[in-house]
Amino acid sequence: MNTRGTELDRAMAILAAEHSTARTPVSVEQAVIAEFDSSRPRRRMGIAGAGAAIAALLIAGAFVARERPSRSRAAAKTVAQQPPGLVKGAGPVMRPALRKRASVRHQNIPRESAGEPFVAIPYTVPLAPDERAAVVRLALSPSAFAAVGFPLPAIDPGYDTLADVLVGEDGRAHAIRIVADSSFR
Amino acid sequence: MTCSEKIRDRESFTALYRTHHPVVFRFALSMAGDRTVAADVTQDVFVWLIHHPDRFDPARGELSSFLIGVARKFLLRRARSDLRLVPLDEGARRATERPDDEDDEQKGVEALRAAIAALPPRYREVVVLFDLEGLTYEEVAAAVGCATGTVRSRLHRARQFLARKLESQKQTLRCAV
Repeated sequence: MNTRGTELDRAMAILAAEHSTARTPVSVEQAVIAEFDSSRPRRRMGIAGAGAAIAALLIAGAFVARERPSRSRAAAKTVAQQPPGLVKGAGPVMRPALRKRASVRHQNIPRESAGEPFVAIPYTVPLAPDERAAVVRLALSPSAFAAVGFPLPAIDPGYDTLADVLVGEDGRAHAIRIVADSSFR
Repeated sequence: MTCSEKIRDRESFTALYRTHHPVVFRFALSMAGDRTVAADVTQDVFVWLIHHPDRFDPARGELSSFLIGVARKFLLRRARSDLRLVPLDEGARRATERPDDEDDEQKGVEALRAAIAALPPRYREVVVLFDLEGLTYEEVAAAVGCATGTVRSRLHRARQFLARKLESQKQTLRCAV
């Protein structure tokens, strides 16, 4: 029995040494890791989706915050640089001469005429409900008023009259209001 | 990091796989006697682990013992389904036959391999785990799911059977010479 045991132990030791050299095929690891990756997409997609949503919200917020003031500023700037007479489609086209004489006095709505209603310029498309508009104060000659359909009982054609012009997003003048007691020069 | 957290983390799981796959593969190879089946079972074990990360309880034993227990169940399931298939014994035997010029020691090793393969599964698994894998009685007991005393008695009986087989093989060789 002892001899048998020794032989068995010796053979077992050799077999154990051979046994330890058995290697798992590489394809098994690849398959297992692929299974691991495919079993976790929902969680990873959830995290990625939440991250993307937060990033999108932040970007959208920053964009809106930046766009709001700059848009109104840009619109005012554009209008200020382009008097109604040069704006295409702003009713009857004003004479080029107006460009020289028109000057921007204020960018904000003046207090003294805040209660006065704007009068729509004839034959212009009305502002859309969601369309942005800017009010620009200009010094207009009586002839410019007459050109857009508002003949003024001008005392002196050499005098300019201050008026607030409502300018739409497209740069066209839509309405006008005369600033009270505004004749000058 | 707990074990279930390691299983959920990709890098930790990869490290865990690389640590434990050899023992699972070798156990499956010894039990099934086929590399393809052993590879399939190894893959099944780790895929199962991915989907059941909370099933391992460190208080009940080592992870390797747990994985061997899982492999054992997969092998059992496979053995049951393979009962419907008739093995090509002759062809398999011829394929594994060794040339006649082998020395006695190598012949003895081959005889032992065949004898282990012929053991009933409950004896084969304790021999593989204790003698070939070098696990302790406790680890074998945890893997097989029985008491340490049962492992000892099964191992004793298995060794007796193997020793008798080797002796009869030796007798056959002497008679042949």
